[in-house]
Amino acid sequence: MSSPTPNPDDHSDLRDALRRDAARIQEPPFDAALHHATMRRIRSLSGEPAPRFAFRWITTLAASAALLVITAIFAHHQPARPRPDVAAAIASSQNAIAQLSLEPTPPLPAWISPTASLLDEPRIPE
Amino acid sequence: MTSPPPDDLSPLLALAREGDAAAFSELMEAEQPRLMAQALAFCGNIHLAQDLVQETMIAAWKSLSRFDGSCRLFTWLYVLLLRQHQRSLGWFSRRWPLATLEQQESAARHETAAPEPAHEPDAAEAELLRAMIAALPARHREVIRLRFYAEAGEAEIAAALGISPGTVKSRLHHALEKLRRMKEKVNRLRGSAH
Repeated sequence: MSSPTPNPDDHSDLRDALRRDAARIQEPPFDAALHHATMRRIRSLSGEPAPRFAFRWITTLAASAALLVITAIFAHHQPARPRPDVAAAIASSQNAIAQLSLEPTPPLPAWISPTASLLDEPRIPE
Repeated sequence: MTSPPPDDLSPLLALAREGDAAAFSELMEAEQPRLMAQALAFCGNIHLAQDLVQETMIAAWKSLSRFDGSCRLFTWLYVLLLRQHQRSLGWFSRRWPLATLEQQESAARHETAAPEPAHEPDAAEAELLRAMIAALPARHREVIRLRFYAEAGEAEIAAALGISPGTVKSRLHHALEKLRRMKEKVNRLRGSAH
């Protein structure tokens, strides 16, 4: 779809009417009260960032402190777990180890390792 | 009152951009009466116009760094004024139904802060014209007001709105065409009423 080519000669009546209407608009005198009120608002706006920045930091610090306090309270009030009897546990383990069979494993038969006999101390033939 | 050329404003603008409220105040002192006149023309109410000018100045202060000098300061401020007005109208600013034109016309007659003398023959026509402009879609209303009321050229409007000059030309054409159709419709309604 092509847009119509604007022709400056079109709507000349309307253009004239708009120009006439624009010419009818009269400028009011400078409104000092409005200007000062606006500038007061602008100055208060430009002064805002600093407190807002501080407020943000204060909020963050307060939140962190509250979190720490809550964590500390929670940790303090946690019920103490029953401590295991360490000495009894050690003794029981030691008993269990003592009961283990400590017999040395039988040496490998000669047919499994043909070179096993080489490890034996040499014997002087009689 | 005409705005000083951009070269004269640049030192003040530079200071204002750095946060110098006094420099900004000086700039706004020169522009306030014109802004007020335009706000009154399309608000029709002195209190609304004052609020609008105040909000425009605050918006200008906040976004002054975005003003690059590609158009006159007044044109840029006028765009802000139009946008503030549009925002204040809310959803209804997008499009006014033609049926409300006559109501607006009569309301404007009562609310205009500086009413035209009754003996002026084309005062009613001017009011109707303003009501018809108010009935345009926002993007068309914007170019009409910038072109005829802010006396900005097409290139300047393009720079102020951040659109191409071709788009400005096209929007202007469509806006004028819509105004013409509205005028015809109003004339028909008036003809059938009599």
